[in-house]
Amino acid sequence: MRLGRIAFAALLVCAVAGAGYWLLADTIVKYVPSAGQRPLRVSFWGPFEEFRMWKQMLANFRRDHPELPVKMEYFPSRYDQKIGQLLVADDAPDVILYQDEPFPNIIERDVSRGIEPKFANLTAIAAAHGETLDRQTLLETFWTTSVDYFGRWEGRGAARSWQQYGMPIWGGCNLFYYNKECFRLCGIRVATGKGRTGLARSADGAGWVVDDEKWTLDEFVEVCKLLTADRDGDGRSDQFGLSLGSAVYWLPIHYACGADILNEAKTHTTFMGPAVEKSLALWQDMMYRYHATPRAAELGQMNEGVGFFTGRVAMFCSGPWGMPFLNEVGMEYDVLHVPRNAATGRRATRITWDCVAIAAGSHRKRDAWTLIRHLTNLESMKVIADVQRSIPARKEAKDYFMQVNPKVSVRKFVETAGSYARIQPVTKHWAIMARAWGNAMGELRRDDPAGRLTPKEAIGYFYMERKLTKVLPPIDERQAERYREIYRKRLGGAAQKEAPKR
Amino acid sequence: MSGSRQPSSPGPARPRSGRTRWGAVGYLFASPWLVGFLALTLLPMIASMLLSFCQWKGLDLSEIEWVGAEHYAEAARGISNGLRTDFGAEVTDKDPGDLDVYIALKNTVYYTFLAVPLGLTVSLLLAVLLNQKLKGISIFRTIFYMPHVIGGVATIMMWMWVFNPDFGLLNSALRAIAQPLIGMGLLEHGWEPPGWLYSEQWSKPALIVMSVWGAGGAMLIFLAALQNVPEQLYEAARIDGAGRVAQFWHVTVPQISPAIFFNLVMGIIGTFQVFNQAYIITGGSGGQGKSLLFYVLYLYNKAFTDFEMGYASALAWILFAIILAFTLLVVKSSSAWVYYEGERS
Amino acid sequence: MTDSAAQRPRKKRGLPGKAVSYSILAALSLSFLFPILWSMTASVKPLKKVYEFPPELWVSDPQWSNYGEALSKLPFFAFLANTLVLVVGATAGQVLSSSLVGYSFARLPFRGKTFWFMVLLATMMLPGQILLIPHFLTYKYLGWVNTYKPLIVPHWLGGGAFFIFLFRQFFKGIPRELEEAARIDGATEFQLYWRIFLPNAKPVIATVTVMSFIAHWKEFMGPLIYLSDFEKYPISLGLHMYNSLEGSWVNLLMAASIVALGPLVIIFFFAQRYFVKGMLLTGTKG
Repeated sequence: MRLGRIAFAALLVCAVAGAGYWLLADTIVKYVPSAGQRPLRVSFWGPFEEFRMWKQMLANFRRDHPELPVKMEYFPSRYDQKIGQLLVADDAPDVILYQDEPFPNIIERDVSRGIEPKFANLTAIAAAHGETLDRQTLLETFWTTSVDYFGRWEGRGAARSWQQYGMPIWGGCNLFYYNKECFRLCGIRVATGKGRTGLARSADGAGWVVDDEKWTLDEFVEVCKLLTADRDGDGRSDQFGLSLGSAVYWLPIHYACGADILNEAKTHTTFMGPAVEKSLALWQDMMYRYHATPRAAELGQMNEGVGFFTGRVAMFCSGPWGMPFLNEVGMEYDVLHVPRNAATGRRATRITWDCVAIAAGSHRKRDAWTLIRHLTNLESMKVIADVQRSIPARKEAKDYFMQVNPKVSVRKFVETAGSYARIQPVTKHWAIMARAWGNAMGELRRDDPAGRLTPKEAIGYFYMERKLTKVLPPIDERQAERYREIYRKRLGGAAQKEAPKR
Repeated sequence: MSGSRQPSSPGPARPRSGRTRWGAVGYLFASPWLVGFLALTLLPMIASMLLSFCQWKGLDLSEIEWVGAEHYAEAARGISNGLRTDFGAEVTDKDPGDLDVYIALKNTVYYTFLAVPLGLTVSLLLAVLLNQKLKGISIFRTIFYMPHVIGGVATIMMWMWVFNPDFGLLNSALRAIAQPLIGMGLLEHGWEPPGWLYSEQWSKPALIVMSVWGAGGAMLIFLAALQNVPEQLYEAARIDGAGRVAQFWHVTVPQISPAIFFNLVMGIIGTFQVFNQAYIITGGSGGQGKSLLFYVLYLYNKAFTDFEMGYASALAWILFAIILAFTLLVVKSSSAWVYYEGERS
Repeated sequence: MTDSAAQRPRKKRGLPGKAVSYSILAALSLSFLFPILWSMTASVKPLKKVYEFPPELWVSDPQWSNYGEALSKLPFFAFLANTLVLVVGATAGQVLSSSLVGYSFARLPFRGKTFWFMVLLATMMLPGQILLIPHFLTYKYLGWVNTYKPLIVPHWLGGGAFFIFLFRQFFKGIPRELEEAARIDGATEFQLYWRIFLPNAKPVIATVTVMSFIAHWKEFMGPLIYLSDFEKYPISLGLHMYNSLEGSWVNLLMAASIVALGPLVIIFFFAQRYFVKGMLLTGTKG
């Protein structure tokens, strides 16, 4: 009887102790980091196929550094928000995969407001390791734009030096994918670099030939229209020319209109004027007037890869990350260069890079640096190239990248990266700007014609948000105010009494 | 299972050994809830109320700034200007406030005021259908009740596939029906069934259908209530010459009005807080033309995407006020149409 | 055929009436089941056929391997295990905790009991969104974000007003004689609770267990907010992952969804009446 009671009491004590440990362990580790020894943590996002790529790279790392255990933290959704939360809770992973767009915000330094960069200075860490990581070294190894996204000049005068906060790992530029079957059915042939003009009748007069090195915006729009077809005669288009996803994939065409969001030096906001209006009008017309772009209801699925793969749309815009899925489902496709502005002959598209960085609060910066070195070495670059999801950031891996899949003109991605791709209009207020821009573009595509904004109103809508205009690079206030007036008139219902113009 | 309210007998005095009048033991037993209430309900409520008057990114505690009622004002401006826009009046404010709050509220109210009555009607009809002495009726009851139980992410995915505009069952069926109609000239050539979840006008109706599918819970309550209606009342009505419909209206409905009341209140409270479907279907974005931007989704975005903790807290309190208002409305009106046993014959 | 005043449904109908009823019920049942049936057809098609128009309703050669692929492409069984951990942790807490507190409200006198009971009822009406942010901040400062603790621990602190209410109602109905007898034998309050009340409350315990189990199984928003690491995902979040950024494996998603539903359906079939009882306990008298 006594024994039973003692046993019961002992059990109770164990249970309480166990529960206490479970409840408090994380709290203690959070505030007293030395209390717990955790493995090196690396975080990343991506589809599950890329998870395998990470496993491979980390297996290689384990082989080279068996004394440094690594824990993978894979956040498949809302990555930026999760990282934001963890950084602030001082619980961030040591090595973090990160994009270029939110990067300036995360390395912001504002002494007056006590804001410090949330990622560690890699140049300093490398120096502590006895290595030099200055701009020269970086440019020798990595693509220029990739270095530019993740570092900055600091200091003044003679002390001015380039400080790198993220090591580029991979990236890509946006080109147009096309479905070979759709092109064939419409009698369009692609002859890169060989045509007289961008779009011409074929020799036998029955079809067309597209030369994507030369084609202008008007020729591009023509091709989209040609690719829109109602094959079974039921009155609805079975195939569309171009699928238009989010606003950021519209950039090549935006640039081809001669328009911009910020100017190239990012010193002024230039999202206004006739070129921008033309671009927004085209965005709207593609969907409504020409109907060469399916509306949201017609495309159904939330991602364009599937629409493309089923032949519903003949072209869509994406970076190399569109390839793995299409390769896996085995479809016949290829990529095309973006069209040029007819007047200036210039073309541009966005290039985006991702990097790996170290959290400023990490307690294992030296080991994290070792891991980063590994993730950006040639062997890892080859693993990345095999998956084909991005151009490896190391220039020396580019040939390997181009050779992996001979069926697709992967070299075009590389050519573009080295020539006409340009940095996105990223500032430390990218998030709010991108959202306002996306919203404005969205308003141009509302289902209900009465609810749809015109290009001028959409520009006004963009400049309405005070939180945004406070943080954008300098705007021409008088012009912006004119656009705002146009939008306010629309809000007030006055415009609803007239028929919508577009 | 109702216990007797009277003490069984004034018997021998119960030994109250070890228990003070203050009731320490009682408090001890109730302590889990008390602790939970204080730590996880009361204090958070106060914190949330205070936070709604502040601006904070949720990061460093040092960054909290007091902004007074600015959040509430911005939301109020947004709602009033949104109403103005919809009713064709002029919007003169230089700063029209947060119009998205108005959109979110509009969507939520639209959804609630269609889904709840529809759901109640359907579940009542189902309950009436199930209230028959047929063999195997329990199998049917199970089938109708099951969606309510298993509903969750998996079923939302299934419904998304059903509603898929190109390859889903619904539109395929509609197109199959449309073909002969087009041939006969009743429908114009090139007619397209709606885009359901991806179309501005049809996304909420699609969600309403989904919610009606899950009406099994209310159905059970109605079923129990129906089974409790005394047979004599029907007899009396029949003797008075009332037909089936009249019987239903004058006997059944008043008798089950407590159940209607309960389902109505629960329905309003629950439907107002719709989140899962909106999030999963739109990925958090609120759908085409913000048609699926429901209030709680908007709140979630403000809190966990934009990290505007103060504003999101204010939104939460506004939601509370609105739900409370509607609930009180229903409760107040209930005295007019809800009959409890023993109050009226 | 007159029936007694007690609960008896309507009188019997003739054969044609019955046939009509059955056919209506059958038609309605089909419409209730068709989303599930439709997903089943999608789950056995190869990806290209899924995106075919017009869709094949009766799949002539089903690709059952989709199920295997769905379960292995993503760590589905890990998700399942995670869900079990969460659900068992939360349900155990709710049952134990709410029965304890329900007992105190039912049987133990303490000062201010009526007041606290009113407070309890009031909390049932509170929308959770008000508490969303403060809870998140609390857990952030405790270091509990990205763990299961925010999803389990709150349920041990009282277990929810609704279940407390259920237990209280039930305990109030337990005859005093049982209690008296035990008290005369000198039982402590806890022994009373543990040896007398709890064993007699099996129906409520079953109901609460089943309702809690199913509610936690389906939980989405909580895990969404607190869990970032996909290895910790329960099924509700894991299903999301079949939609990748670039492509969507609908057939695998449907297969996984059906498997995810399986446990719920099984539990439901076996524990139906507890669920039904729970619903009824709430509604009839308001």
